Amino acid sequence: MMNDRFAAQVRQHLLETANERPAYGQLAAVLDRVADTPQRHPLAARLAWFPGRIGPFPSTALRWALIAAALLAATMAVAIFGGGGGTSPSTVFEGTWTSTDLGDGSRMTLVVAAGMTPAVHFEDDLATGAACVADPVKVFTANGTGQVSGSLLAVSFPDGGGCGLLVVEIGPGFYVYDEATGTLNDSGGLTWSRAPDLGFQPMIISSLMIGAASGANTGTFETSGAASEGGLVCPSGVVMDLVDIDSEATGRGESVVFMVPKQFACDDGSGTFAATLEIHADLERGTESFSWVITGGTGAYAGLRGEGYGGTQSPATGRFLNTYWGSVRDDRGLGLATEAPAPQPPTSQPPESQPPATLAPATLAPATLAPATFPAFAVTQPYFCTLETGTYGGSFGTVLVTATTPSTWHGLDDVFHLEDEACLGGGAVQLEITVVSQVYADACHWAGTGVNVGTPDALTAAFSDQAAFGTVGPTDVTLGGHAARRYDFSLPAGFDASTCSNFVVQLWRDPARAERFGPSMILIDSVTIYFVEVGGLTLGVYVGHSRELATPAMLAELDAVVASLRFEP
Amino acid sequence: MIRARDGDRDAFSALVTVSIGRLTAMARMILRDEYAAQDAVQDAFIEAWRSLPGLREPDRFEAWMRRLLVRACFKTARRGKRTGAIEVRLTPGDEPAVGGAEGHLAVHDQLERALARISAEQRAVVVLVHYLDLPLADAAQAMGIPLGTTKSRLNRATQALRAAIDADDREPSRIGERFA
Repeated sequence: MMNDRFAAQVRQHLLETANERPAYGQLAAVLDRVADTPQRHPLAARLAWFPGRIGPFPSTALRWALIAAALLAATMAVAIFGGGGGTSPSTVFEGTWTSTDLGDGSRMTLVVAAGMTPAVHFEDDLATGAACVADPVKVFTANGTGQVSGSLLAVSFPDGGGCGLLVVEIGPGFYVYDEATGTLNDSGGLTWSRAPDLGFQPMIISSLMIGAASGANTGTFETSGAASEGGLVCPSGVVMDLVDIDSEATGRGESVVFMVPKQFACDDGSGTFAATLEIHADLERGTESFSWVITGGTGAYAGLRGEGYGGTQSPATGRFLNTYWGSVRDDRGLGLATEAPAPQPPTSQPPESQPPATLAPATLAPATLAPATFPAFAVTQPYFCTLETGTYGGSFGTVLVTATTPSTWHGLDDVFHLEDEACLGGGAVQLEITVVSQVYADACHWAGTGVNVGTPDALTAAFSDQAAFGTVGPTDVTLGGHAARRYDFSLPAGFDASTCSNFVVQLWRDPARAERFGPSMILIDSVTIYFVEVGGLTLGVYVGHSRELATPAMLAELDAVVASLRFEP
Repeated sequence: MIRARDGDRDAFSALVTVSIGRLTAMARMILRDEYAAQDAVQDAFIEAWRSLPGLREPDRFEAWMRRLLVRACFKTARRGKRTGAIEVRLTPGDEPAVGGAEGHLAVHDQLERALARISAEQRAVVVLVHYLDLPLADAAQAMGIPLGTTKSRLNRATQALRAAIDADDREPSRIGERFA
């Protein structure tokens, strides 16, 4: 009821403070402009209503025409970027270069792709200038293009760059290769050195995605570059989004940022690997760029690590060519990580009591992945948020999660979020399930502190290290028929979250949503966390309640919902 | 509407006259800046006039205008972010809050500050649902986003409002918020 009151307060406030009087001269100004403005031709006026990446196309004929154009563009882009064919020649500039910003000591990185007109990516890991003054995460990035002429690389960044909130223009620049030292000297007087070789191999993925009418997009991929040629990654396979992209995009004409986890399944059955893309899209201009990071893998790719950046061609149609540039390595081969379970010493315990072997999935994901809707609650009727008593399910990739809710509980249909009596958020008892790709090093000042957790061990270590107010755990438990690790913690009484990022405590990042919208503690001050590895994914189950507001009956309902959880890979 | 669609400027002027007040109020709430709001309303009307010949369902004019306005607001907000030109006005221009009780005013004050802290996109969904009292499906259409996204955005907007108010309760001296 509290939330209904809050909604009523908001409504009353807006109605009482609304100012519906036009400003002096406003009407005349509008009419003057109309008098000077011609109308569009009816056909042109209709074309102006293309909804871009979101929504239906205006006609079947037009849709097919656009798809044909997109395929043509994709074919051309494959040729340009060398996807699958590796046709772009290497230059002395190809690779990753680093330098130090003399102004603030931050590390700057320049990644140059192959070819005479390479894609280039610039990154400053701590931008202290005015461009990022309002950004909580001060990593400045820009994507552009280069033109190689002998020992000169001229670069331009037509879309500018920034840290997220502000896009600033970047003037053209050039880099001169010094053959004697193997370094670059840029037009600003800085010297750039090649990034140290840590065993990473260059990799390019070309992926043609098909926009689904509903649910997540699927497609195919081909790899090229040294990582592909050396067998570090398979040459081809299928790829699927683990979220419905449209659920995060916010409409044509807007600049949006959203996270898209993807799963790549190799055609040769060698395994799967997962990557999360942070996509920056300008839906008005139809441009898209992204950074990507490998978040885990199975089979031959259980130790795969890597990251990079990429771009999308023809994002305004139903087909998209995603091109990934970057580098990967196999940490298992380097002895840097042990994703596979360590050999177990002989024991007298019966096999069924062993720790679960599913922490490093030994089974390969199917080579053909079915499109997923994320999460797809089986809502029984049009609803605002109230759910009837029943079992609701959501899918995370190939993993189906179901929960049975009591009557009067509420939920969202694009996020696996359930709570009591709270149409508008902030219930006294809540349950939320997401994929976990990053754990925050600091749960209060969490912005920018996400630590990638590609393995269960890494997740355990990161969560144990998290500044999280006396976390207790982990404890090995069973949840929904699967082994899980449980943590418990409570905020101290009277904890002041006003200095925390976005005024809330947040434990991990949900890769399906913008960073500020992960599982966060609003009103909730006591939380039990379960991490469940299932189907090659790590799912975080957030079970929270307010010590002040949750009644015993509410807590009993919450316990029942948790007990009803089922995970089906 | 039919006459306006066929190029009759007088007919379009009549449409503007009857709807400019409501749309301006919406823009003021979403953008929280008088001049930015006027710009957005003007842009929306100009776009409406130009594209009116393509409107196939005249009875959807009001919904169409709302969508144009929301889009114009987002564009204006982005321009404001780039230039830093948008300043937050903590109170509406000339409409004092109703009621004199201190508690009532305090709630208004808190909500004003909280609204200033959330994004223009979040304010838009709050305005469409709570001020215009639109069904979520209509709000989704106005913003050009899926229904599910609208629900979650409203949820998150409300959470953000509550979080901002909670923070405000703990730190009453926090003032001078700028456009988020």
